[in-house]
Amino acid sequence: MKTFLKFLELEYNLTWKPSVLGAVFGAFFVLHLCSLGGSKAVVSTNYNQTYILEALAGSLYLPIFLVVIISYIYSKSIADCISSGLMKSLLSHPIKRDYVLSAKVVLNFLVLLTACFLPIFYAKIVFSVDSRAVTSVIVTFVLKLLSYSSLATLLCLIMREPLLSFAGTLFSLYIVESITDFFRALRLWELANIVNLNRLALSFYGAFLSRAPLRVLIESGALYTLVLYISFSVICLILSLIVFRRMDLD
Amino acid sequence: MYTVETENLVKFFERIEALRGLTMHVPKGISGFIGPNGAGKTTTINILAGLVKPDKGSARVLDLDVVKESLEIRRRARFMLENQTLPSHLTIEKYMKYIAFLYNADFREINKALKIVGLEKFRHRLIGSLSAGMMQRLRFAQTLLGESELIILDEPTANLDPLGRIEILEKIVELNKDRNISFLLSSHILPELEKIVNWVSIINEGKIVAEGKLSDIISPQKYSEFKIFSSDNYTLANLLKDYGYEIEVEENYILVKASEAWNLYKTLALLTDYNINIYKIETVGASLEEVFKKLVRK
Repeated sequence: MKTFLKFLELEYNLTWKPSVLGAVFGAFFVLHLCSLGGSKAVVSTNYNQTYILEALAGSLYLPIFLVVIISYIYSKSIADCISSGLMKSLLSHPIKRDYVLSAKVVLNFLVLLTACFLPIFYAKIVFSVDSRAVTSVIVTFVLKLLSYSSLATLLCLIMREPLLSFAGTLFSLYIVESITDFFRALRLWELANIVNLNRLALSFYGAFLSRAPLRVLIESGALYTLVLYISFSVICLILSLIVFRRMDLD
Repeated sequence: MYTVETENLVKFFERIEALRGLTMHVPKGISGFIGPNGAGKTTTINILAGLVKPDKGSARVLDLDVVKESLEIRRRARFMLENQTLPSHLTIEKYMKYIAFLYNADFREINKALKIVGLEKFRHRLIGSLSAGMMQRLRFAQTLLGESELIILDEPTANLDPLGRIEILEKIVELNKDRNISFLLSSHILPELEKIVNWVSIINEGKIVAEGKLSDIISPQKYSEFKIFSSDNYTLANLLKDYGYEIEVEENYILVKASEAWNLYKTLALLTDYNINIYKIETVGASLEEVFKKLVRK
């Protein structure tokens, strides 16, 4: 555990320079507040919780930003580290490959999650949003970040070259982001509903307000979405570990 | 027990066969691992460090399997890789603290290691601001942290000035004597290597072409060059040239290159009709560099 924490610290020093950290946090905050500011909740004096909820989940509606920032961070943290030879250097010391990769994934995930959380907590304090609404948004964010991060990790390990990894991850995450529209275009409504991560916050909020939350989750398809994206994340992470363990660092 | 032992190592990088059944046995002490560029030295060292997996064959370091017991190998041995990348925005001290932590080394050892390589005054400098030579010293310093039985160095004197090279080589000899640490050095600067190693493995095109004690490797080649002192060096040189020998005429003697001493003697016997008195024939010992060139050209 001590070694893992030390590696989190080392990974923080390698990837998250103060300037990168400041830029990510600042961008999340500004973009989130922009979406909040543009919502009906802020302009209306008698705002509705649902509007606030939509506004809180506003960052979810900024897919390009989230996709770009995840692609950048993971390509820098993983692909750049491999192609620059730093990974080889780290692994020439007595440290398990699983530790190094886990430290990278966990730290990046936690920093991005914190960057998402801060503006949400800020909005909760300023607009006195219902805690259940905040929790719904947070769970959605966790799931979204988890699935995007695990896919980004796998792609960066396969591509290894930073620019290629950035472009490849950006493209792949954009496909995932727009898969709902794809199914809608094919008129596969149920499938479109299940793969739509962005509506999870509202479904969770509905479940929180209901007396039969599980039924609400099943009927809205949110439970399937949850299972689908958790499975997807786990598969991507397992594959990442397999790829990394077998990787030649020449 | 050998410190490094490989059997029929084969490694492909896509279609390129980097190692073609490499078998080597390196005993304790200071050993040299030499070969031309692209011969497979770095690939072999990467396999020993567990960074690259062999396609065929087996390798053991300190009697531990490089595939199954790689972590334990990296605990007991140290690796300095060629042009090893170090985190540029960390200070020397901070970086060394991380490495010391990984080897369970006392932080006081950092001072000692930096002093050995002459970087103690620069401990607060960012790694990115170091010169190529200082970076190389830092790479060497990190191998000195904690207890180790074997240090494998890939081009340890690269980027160092002549004085720096001598310093590092002297430290290697000192560490071998004082701490009983074995070394495997891959280097291109053979005259330097020759002074400190007692065992040599020569690699070419992914295979070991010669291996053994330095004296055993060099001695069969001792009669490759001969100094001949005669009454008429100029005429003798021309006659030997006609017999296909490579000749250099010096002030008092001629230098003859011959693959076999016996052949040269037979040729000289044929030249008795020319009334040239041969006063003395001296054999010239071949250097490791010459042996290396010969073996690689074969």
